Amino acid sequence: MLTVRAVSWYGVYSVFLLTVVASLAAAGDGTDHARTPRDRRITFDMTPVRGEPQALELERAGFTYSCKECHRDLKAPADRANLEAEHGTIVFNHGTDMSCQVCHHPDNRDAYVDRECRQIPSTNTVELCAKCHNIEYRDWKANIHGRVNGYWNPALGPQTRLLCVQCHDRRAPAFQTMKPLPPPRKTRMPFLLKGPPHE
Amino acid sequence: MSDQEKQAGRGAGIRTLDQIADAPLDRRSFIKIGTAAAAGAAALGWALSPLLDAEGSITIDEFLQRHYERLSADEMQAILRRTENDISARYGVQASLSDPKPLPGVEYAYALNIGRCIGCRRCVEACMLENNTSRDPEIQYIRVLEMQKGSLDLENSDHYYDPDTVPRKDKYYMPVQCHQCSKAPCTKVCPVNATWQEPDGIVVVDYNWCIGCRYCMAACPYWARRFNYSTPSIPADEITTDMAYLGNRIRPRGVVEKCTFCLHRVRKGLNPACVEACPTGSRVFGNLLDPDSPIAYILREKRVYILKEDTGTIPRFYYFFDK
Repeated sequence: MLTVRAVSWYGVYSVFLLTVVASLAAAGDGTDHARTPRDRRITFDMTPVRGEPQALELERAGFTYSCKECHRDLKAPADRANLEAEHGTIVFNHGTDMSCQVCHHPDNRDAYVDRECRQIPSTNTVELCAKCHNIEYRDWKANIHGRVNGYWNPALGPQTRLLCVQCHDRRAPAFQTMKPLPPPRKTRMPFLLKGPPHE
Repeated sequence: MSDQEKQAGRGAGIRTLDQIADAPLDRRSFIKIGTAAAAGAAALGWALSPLLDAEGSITIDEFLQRHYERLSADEMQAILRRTENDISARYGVQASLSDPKPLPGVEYAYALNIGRCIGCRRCVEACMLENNTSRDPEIQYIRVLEMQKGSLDLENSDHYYDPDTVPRKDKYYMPVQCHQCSKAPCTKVCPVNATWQEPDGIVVVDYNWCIGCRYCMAACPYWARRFNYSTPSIPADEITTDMAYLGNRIRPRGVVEKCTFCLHRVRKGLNPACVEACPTGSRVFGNLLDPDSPIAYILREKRVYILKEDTGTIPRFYYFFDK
């Protein structure tokens, strides 16, 4: 015989059991809704190998980078016999049978020199390099030597072309070696390998 | 069963079904039955919980989706929004998904200076970042082969090389990726027409249509296609939110994906990610139909090598030499 008291107990138990079932069912749905949308992204690295041209960095550091400051009165020798003594930090590894004045103007040390002994302004390194490296210069102008960033079609948007000195050191122009990024993982199905390893 | 046996059974606590059904429901049996029912319901819920997880199942809308070529503009818009919501729910990023169409009068081609590549794998990393490929298990479209100088022996090439610095002496490096072949074998073998060649030459995959049979992977002579053995896992802050339906959107599990020349970028005029990241400038991209493009220049002026030319695939990917 059910009494009023017993009915009320059944009610309490029913509510309790329903709560347990509902909480267990909610726990079964494992998706994490707490994550918030983000728009931040990590882009690939597009900095040139050697950064900006060297002169700009030195100028930013407070130097004038003007060769004239020493060479105004001091006539430089035509050969490079005294290079180690006067320019101790310079590593010279550029071609064979080269001297300073293949590139530097004999009278104005702030300028480069072309084949007719005319001055090339120090900002125009491309013209200097082109003096010897004809094929590379031709290819560079055709956008196939050195990286071109931006739009593949110049009609659709701007293109950025790197200068020679952004990849090549003037005095040691061979392209530098670098650390490779890690190789691909050998397992293409790593989830099959979870568990104790094979003997 | 005799009455005597019934009596004996009752004495041992064994009751018939009728007796159980007719028994009055007291508090003790209610708690007993109720607890068992709750435990059963919880166990059932736990067992069925994978079905609640969206990534394992296919929705009715996805199931009824028609082939890409038969979709109306409105249907496409609905699919794009639905996929955006799906990506948002699963990866927590708000993607902007679009379906860029081929540009008229453009046929893309790619050239790679095999003498300049130093094997640094910067292109591989850029490709993964741009194309939202799975990090675990790892999917990479570009495979850089380390080859012995003076040989073209693919069999003995190594793509797991990991020295301190590259390039190594006496080695050269040959990155291989999808060649976007004019006569692409992968598109011919697909039993459901889920992969095809677009008018601008890019071979694409409709990931919603792919059934994952991997015939195309067997057909490809360049090992350019990859299969999603499990749902791609990508950190949310590395996901490229500018996505294309046929391109770099995050793939579902069980479908094939491949290089699309960064379709979402190049159809806006931008260079592919691998071109942008290459520190040596070995990679050149352009319009094959434009006689003033760098690609046309290379085909005119340089020595060009086609990988596995004898397979007759007529690739749009050329290796060239400076000297």
